[in-house]
Amino acid sequence: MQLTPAQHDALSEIANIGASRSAKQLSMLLDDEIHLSVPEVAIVSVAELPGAIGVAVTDDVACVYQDMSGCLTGKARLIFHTHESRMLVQMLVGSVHVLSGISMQIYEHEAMKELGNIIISVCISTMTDMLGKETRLAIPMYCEGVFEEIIEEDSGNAGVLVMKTALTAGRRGISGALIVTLSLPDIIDLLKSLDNFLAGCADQQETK
Amino acid sequence: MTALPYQEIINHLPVGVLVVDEMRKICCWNAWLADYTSIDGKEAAGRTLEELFPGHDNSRFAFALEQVLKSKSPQIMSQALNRYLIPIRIPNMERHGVSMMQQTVTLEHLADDGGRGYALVSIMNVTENVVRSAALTELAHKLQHDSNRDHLTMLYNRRFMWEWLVQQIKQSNRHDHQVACLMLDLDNFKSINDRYGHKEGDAVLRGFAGIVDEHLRKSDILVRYGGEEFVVLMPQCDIEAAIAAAWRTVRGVREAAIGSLAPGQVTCSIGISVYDPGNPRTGEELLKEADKRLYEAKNSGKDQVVPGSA
Repeated sequence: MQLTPAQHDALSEIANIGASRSAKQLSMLLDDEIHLSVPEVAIVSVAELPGAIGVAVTDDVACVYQDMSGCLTGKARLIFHTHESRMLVQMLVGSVHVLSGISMQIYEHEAMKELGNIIISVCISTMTDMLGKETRLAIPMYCEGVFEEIIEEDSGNAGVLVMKTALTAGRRGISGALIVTLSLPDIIDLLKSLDNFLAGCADQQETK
Repeated sequence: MTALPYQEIINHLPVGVLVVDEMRKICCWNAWLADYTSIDGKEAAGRTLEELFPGHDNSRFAFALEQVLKSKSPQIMSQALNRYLIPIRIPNMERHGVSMMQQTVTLEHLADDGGRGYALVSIMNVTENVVRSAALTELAHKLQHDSNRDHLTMLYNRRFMWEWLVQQIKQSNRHDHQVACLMLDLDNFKSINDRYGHKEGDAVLRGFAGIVDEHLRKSDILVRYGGEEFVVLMPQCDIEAAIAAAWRTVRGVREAAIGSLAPGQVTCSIGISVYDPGNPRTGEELLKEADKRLYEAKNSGKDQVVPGSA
């Protein structure tokens, strides 16, 4: 499913507002300058997802996810390569020392969960508020595994909204992607809302 | 369904529970919180956390509340990033380096029949987990450190050397630089042991390790290979630089008082080999050549350096 150039621009802007708000909160929380790059947005099929976010199906990834219900039903996930998520935790928590061969500790998972929770909830609420689609998120969860296993349950779903971004703290950048898996009717509904949003923006400009 | 005494249930929960309304005022404060803060429910009701705990200016909590109340989006505040929400002193944990209760906090949206929104805040005490985790991490570090070290000299041991060398050879091939290997042996160590005893022998080994270390770069590693044999591995080092470093070491050892022995009583011999990515070989072959050169140095009168070919 292709986005029109106008839909693509509008989604990019919404995603960028969400990313900026998330970065602001993360910077305050961590007392460090955190930057999230302008997200690259797309709507792809589950099969196209690995290519869209630069992950091989056999790659080990770390994932924070929140189930969505309400106007949009599906799952929002923030995905990083596992080794990058460890670097990220070390960057963020600072004193945490990850031993080679020893898996991430529970409290490091908690840190990742909170970080993901901020990014997911801010981006999703920015999008749903602007598009008037009231959506509830469940408590965030964390998992690690092979990418294809993590997205296995999505194979029946029609589409994935992808927001790919890079998080920078200090001088290091970590690539991650927020992916929102939705059913075909929800995707169509989302695009309709996006068109309405664009029409509303055009009306506002005319009245000015 | 039977009407349950919810307030009583909340008071029996082993976690802190408070409910905050849209004005950020507390409208529920359970017994767990009352016990730990010495603030009872009546005192907490109708006040904000900032009013209950002056100086409690928590922007992360304010943001989380906003997300919950406005967007109905649940939030977690991890111990790793926030340490705690409610300041609760726990004197019995101070000996473990923790003076405040460590907390994991969850915020979720609630609505009453009239549609008014609330934030349900649950606080879990994770202090013991944090203390246990810190102790296990420290222990794991110590074990990892100890498993890589020789206990007498505290230098790296063979086990670490082989792991390091495998990685270094890969890097050498990738970046096309050489790795020098110096095999060192204390001359006449057996007679030092026989004449002065094992205690003095151990002091000589430790002192020798210290002198050699002074002549190395930060990137080099010094390994106790076994007995009185040592290995120095030098990344990004060609044969000329390795020979220069080896002679500096030989002279440094000869001129130093080591243990209770006077300068000149302790000397060493060194054999050198160099790994060249243009002529790949295994780490074992690299060590074998350095060992061969070392014995040439021994057979040529000791207290000297014999280099191999690059």
